[in-house]
Amino acid sequence: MSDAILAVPEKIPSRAVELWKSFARNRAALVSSVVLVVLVLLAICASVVAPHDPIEQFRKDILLPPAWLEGGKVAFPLGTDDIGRDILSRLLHGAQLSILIGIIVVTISLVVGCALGLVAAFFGGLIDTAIMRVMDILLVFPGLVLAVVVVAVVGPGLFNAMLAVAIVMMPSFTRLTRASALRELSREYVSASRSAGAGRFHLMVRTVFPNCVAPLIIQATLGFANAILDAAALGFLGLGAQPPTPEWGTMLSGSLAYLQSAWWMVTFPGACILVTVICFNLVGDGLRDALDPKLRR
Amino acid sequence: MTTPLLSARNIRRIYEVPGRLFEKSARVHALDDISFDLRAGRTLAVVGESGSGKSTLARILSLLEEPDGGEIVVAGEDTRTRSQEIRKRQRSTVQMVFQNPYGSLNPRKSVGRIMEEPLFVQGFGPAQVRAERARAMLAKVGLRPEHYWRFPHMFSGGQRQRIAIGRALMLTPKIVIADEPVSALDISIQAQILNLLMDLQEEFGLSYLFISHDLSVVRVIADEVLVLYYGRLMEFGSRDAIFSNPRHPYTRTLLAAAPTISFEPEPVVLDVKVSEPPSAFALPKGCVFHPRCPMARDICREVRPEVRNVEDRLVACHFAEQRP
Repeated sequence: MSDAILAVPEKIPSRAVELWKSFARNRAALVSSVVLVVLVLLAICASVVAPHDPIEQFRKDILLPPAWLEGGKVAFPLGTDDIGRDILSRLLHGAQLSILIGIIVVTISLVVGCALGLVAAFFGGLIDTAIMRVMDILLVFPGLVLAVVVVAVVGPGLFNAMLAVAIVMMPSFTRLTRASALRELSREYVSASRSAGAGRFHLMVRTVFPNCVAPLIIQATLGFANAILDAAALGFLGLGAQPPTPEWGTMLSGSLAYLQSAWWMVTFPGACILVTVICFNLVGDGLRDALDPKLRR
Repeated sequence: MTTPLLSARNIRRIYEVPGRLFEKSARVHALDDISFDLRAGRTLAVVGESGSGKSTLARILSLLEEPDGGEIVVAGEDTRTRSQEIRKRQRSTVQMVFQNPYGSLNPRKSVGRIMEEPLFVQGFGPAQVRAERARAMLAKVGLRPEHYWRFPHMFSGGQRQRIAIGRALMLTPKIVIADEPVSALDISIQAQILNLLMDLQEEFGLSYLFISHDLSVVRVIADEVLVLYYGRLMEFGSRDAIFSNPRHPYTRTLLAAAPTISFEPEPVVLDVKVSEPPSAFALPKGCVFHPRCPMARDICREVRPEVRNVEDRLVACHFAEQRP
């Protein structure tokens, strides 16, 4: 009995709890993740929260400025666009699509890109050469041109546009993964795993990959912004989201002509993209630091 | 005499360095015709300068690399087997401790995970049993139970090497290949780690293949010494034979080059003729050591000396019987 009392209660930190604790210590990351959660909630509840239908045109209220400016109406808090649609409602509905595009595109290119990079690093030789030359070919074309080609091949449409952007973004993930994996492969802890009898899959996924995530997280958060903008460019060319579907990128590129006469048409979608991207970036930074045991306190 | 736990016969390893455009590919004989036996509970030290093939030997014996020729028999079983079962058994029989404790521990894994990994990949037991074993091993290598959750960067070099040694012992191996396990550590820590290695040897009846370029360490820990030079065996015999009565001029040069603290008059230092070692791509004909050997004669430049038995050791020198 005395033993039981004397025994120091052993703390068994669960991995998730540890991770959350060190993540939460990073203020910026914490605030950003809250903002992101709010954004996602708003996007999900868009049809309830939005004051108007995103595609309803109020012909009498074309190009109204935001409510707090002279000439603005309280009914349209952020003003209306060139055909009289409520900008706030379009932004809220557009959030659904834009965030979805960002997440899906980054996920596809991250998963496929990392897998290819790991395979290239581990198998080497002909497989390595084949994968990396294909990636080089993809890198040669300007991103948008390549995306247009992909869409032209698989046909227009939102999902195909996302696929196209994902393919455009893939080489950077593949190259990053391969480079970090090659660096890690030469370290002795990999030999140690191997001499313990670890199979190739174990070495790839459990031993090497966790040491390669830092640059990938950064690349992924930056890629999120690119994904939204590229998808918008495709939409602009008529190959992605089709009007009148609200989507941030399309709203941005469609309103460039009014940059001087109706600044609110450009500014608010731009600000939305900016805030989302910054938040993803900060969350990414926090995640990277939380995942690195050296930076955990 | 008992059968050896590990025996290597005519091990050969050639590295092909691919040529660039308009260049021929080059070959490096990292190991050339190396044979030796390691008996249970003994320590065999492999010494030699950089590039002598020591680490290649370690990687081959720990089954990380395959030799290009020759055979290795571990506990009676040839390593060239295709059988997964034998392969697995051999893996757990031979484990390795690496030179650099800063590189040999996965920085993303906690100490517990690192120690349990060998058990995990061998599919050993439920997680709880693995954790118990890891904790027991922590105590054996002189670490505390609370270290279980910590990460490698929180430890000093000596502690890291303890973790690495503990990991090597998790599969209860019979042979531990130690590739310069103390050369990355401070002198004071070196002694601790050597003592730990010797204690563990006694407790578990381990055999060590101890690779080192530090003769003062070898003198402490080794039962037998194998001297390598450019992938070839120069001299192989008991520690006493090698240290007190070296028969190969290269061994004598090595011993003379080792710094000592003593008030005795300096030993007669052999005159090494060429201080520049030869290129591994263009090894000299005949005896590899002849360009630097003070005793070299015509025959050394032409004929490669056979490994032969001279005064209770193996030696590869035409003039092993002569004294300088």
